[in-house]
Amino acid sequence: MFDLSIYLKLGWRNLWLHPLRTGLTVAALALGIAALTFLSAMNDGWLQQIRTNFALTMTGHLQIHASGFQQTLKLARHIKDPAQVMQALDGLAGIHSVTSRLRVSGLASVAGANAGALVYGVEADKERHLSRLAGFVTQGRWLLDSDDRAVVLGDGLADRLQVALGDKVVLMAALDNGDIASEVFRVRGLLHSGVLDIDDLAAVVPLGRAQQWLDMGQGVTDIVVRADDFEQVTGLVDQLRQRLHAGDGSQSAAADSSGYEVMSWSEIDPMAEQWSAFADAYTWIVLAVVILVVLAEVLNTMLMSMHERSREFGLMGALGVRDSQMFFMVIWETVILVSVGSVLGFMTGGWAVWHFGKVGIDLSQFAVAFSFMYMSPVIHPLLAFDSLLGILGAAILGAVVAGLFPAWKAARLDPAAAMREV
Amino acid sequence: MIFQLAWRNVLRNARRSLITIAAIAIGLAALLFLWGFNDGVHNSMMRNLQQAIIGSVQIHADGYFRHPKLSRDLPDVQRVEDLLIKLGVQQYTRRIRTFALAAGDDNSEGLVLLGVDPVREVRVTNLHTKVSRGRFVSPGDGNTCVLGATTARNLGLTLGDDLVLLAADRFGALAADRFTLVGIVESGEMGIDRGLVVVPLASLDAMLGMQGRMTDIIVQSPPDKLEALTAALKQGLNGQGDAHAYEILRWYDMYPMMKQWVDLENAFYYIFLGVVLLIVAAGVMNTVLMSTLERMHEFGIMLALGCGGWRLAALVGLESVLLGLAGSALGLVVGLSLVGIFHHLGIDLSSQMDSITRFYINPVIHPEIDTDHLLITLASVLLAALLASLVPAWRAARLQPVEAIHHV
Repeated sequence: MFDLSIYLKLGWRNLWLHPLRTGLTVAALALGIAALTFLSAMNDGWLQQIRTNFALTMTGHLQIHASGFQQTLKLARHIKDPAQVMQALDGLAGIHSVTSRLRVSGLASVAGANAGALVYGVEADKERHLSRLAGFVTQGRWLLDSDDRAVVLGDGLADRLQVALGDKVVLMAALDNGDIASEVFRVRGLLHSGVLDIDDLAAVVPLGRAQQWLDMGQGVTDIVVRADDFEQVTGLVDQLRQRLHAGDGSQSAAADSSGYEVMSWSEIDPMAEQWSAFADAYTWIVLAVVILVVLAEVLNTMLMSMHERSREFGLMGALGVRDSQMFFMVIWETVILVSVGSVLGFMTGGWAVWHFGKVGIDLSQFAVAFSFMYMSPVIHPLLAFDSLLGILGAAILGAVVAGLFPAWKAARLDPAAAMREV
Repeated sequence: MIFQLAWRNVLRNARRSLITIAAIAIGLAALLFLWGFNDGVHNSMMRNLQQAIIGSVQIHADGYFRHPKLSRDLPDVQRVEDLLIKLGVQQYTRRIRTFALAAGDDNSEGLVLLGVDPVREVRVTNLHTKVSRGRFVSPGDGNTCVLGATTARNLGLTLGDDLVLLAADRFGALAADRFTLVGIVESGEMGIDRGLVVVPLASLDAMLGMQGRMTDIIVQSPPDKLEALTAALKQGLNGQGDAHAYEILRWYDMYPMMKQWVDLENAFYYIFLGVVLLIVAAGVMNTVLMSTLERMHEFGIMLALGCGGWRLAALVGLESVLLGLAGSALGLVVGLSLVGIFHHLGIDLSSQMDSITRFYINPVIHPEIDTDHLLITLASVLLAALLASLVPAWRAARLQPVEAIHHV
């Protein structure tokens, strides 16, 4: 084994001998890694935003129903004893808040117009802490605990019915036994969430009045849980299923209706989950192409610098430096370049993520101001750990490719030809 | 003279030139491929949405879309259809649309009730291709209906069952009629699988007492003709002083969500592309700077021979222009070929999605590229390549001959 320390020293000095060249190569690496870090954080931030908006707009992180309710949406399958469920929720860690709802599809009508509606009986004050519904009120006000026959309508529904604040609306829905029950409510507020299903359908009324109107006693259909964050959801769902001997909501409508089902946000509406899975696949392709571009540019820079140094390598070869030694020297140079470039790149990218994570990237000037599909036009980049690992992997791959190829070329140079080269 | 010199310099050092050209070409090709992917998803989404049910343009009596009442029927169906024929439109159909309550065994559901002309409908939309069980309504049918799969399940109905529909007729009185379920649609779209019932136009006409009156005319149009067609329809129907009797709505006037989604994602994409452009520009600057470094000796001699600093700069700049053009041309060819190849093969993302299509996206993506995106990208890459070569040119102009010659 030959002594390598001289080549370590030589490689180090080579880098300092041409500060501009070294600087350019490091810059290429750093820029590439910073770009990848930033873009992938932008994507992660976007996905996180969709999930959060979805969960907090209305659905919550998980819901407990009577077995079979989510599939059939029949009032007959309601939770007769909410206190029992509340007991099961007691003492579970990671719960932000809990509220009960009564959900039924019905008909809203005023003189001269009617429209399909989704009626939500809610606990006014608890709902305010759990979901963002109260915050979406654009006209009038949100429900108060003291309200009785008050309703907050989605603005699309209100427009269809042509009602305004203070107008009376009759809500009709079918009871357990098939009879139609109706009740008069006065419009106290209009809300706009940007989610079509809510704006065009929702009629939000106080839970107590809804229970009386629909002859439900203390019964509710949904017990909605907001967790402290998404990481808690799977654990909570598992624990609750155990405590309540509950299913996952996939039982057929024929299943016995005495039990419970516990469903996470992604099971309640697979849409948000599927959408983020698709968006993820989509951006993965984009990122893959960006990685390719970064690799190509880094390789280019390295090749160019090898090319420039042909004469130097030729001279070293003529002086008796062996191929393997030359190979080792160039690899060593690359290791230093890549390490410095990666650190700089992660720092720059991390700074950009931190900065824009705070400020947000406002796309509303490109696209009209809106919020739908649980998206808002201001993106807050967020660096996920998985993505960080992915980028690190790409950087190391880049280093290997960008280092090995030129090193191999340098080692294979024919001294005489290399020195002749201008 | 300078041009000749630049040309020879580019050719003389083939390897250096190739590396720079490759830097530009890879960047441009990657950008074009990304646009192709993006535009492919978006265009197929928009096409699918229009073909599923809503069409590209709908013509109603003014105000009908926001406040659908059967008394607001189209003032003159014949006149609209004559105009469409005059404008050379072939894909159009007529409908009656209203709101109905469907009564099941132990529950009921609010539905959009659509009366369609079975012959013409299948030429305009592809709803009939989404029928998973049974068949679509066909000419000569009596009271038949087609339901979305979710609605059918919620109402507990199977093929052959009868469905009672309640709706307000033209005069506001409640009308009810019985329809036999002949087909079930499963499209994966919530708005179709849930909340829609389709019946033959003639049956609905009879039930609601419409006597040949229509509420909607649906037109299918290719995207590039959409704006012109809308303008012509507005001119032809509302332009003659009879004060806005019609509303002519493009698909995104009615359902702006998807258009906004596409706009937003394009904005997101422009940021991505901006970053990629930065990388490409840096790559070009690197290679050109590196090559000026390598050519110090050569530059020093040129300066010593009396070539002025600015002429040298012009030479370096011109070389970059040549490299930029060559790189762009190569990138254009490679990028467009990639788009073309994958357009044929399709990129299968079905493992990432459910087997069902949603949001009108096919799980197999066929890239295609919009002309404006192509041009913007090409122009930006050329510009970035040129801007990136300004720094090296400026450095060359400021060289001192003696120092340069001595440069290692």
